[in-house]
Amino acid sequence: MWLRDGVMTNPNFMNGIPELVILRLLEKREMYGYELVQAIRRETNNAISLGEGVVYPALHMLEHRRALKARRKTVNGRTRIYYAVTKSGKKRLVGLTADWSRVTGAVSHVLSGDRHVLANV
Amino acid sequence: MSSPTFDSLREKLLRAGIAPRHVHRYTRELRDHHEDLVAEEIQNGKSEPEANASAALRLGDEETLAAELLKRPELKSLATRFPWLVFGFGPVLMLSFIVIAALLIEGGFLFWHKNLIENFIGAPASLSQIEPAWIKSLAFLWNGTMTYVLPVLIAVLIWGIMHLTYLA
Repeated sequence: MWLRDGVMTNPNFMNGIPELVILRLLEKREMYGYELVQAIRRETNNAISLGEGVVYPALHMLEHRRALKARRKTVNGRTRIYYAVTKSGKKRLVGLTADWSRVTGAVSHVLSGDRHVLANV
Repeated sequence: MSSPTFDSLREKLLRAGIAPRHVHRYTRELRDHHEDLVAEEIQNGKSEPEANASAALRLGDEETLAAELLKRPELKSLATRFPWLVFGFGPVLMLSFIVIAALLIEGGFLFWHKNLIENFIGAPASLSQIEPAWIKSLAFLWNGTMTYVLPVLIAVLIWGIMHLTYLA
């Protein structure tokens, strides 16, 4: 899947990381943007640092692809837009998680010295 | 606490063809997020000006915020993605629909009028009885309105609804 004639065929891989993290966190419970960014910082021990506003285009995109659904909800007098994972989003998360596990496993093998592992990816 | 309005970001995104509903929601979410960040920074002991500056830094600059949305073509409006559909096929379809609907309504009215007269006189009605001068004038007015006025009114109505819903 990853290597074809020695050329990397999945340039969207890095773009998929925010999608994977967002879907995983929203799978647990619905959140609004600020809450989600705090959760990303907390769950990744600040390893993923991003301009906090850029999370919204990713959320809109996932909603457009029907992986998320958005709804307005008033909490403590403030109306927020909450995002939750849809059935289709859960399927997408399973696929992304499997891809991620396969790739990180392969990279780990490479880093630990097994040079032939990519042939099996 | 003063929140940025993101007016110039909104205008930049709309001009670039991003769908108004995404632009409206995006700027609203950014404004809310900014307020939350300022509250957090103040709670952490910063003064309000410091908290505002820090919140703006954490949120990201306008160029970055715009670029993130602009690189997703799927979020552009239907008119930007398919201009031939909206500005070419759309008006033709709308006009055809209006003309057909207007003719059906007109035909239905004439049929009803013919039946009314025949029931009244108890015999088949002549053309001059079915279509007297006032009916012809009414039909002329009706056809003109349906062809030239209604499409413009519908366009104004659609624009008004879009404006109130997404841009107000």
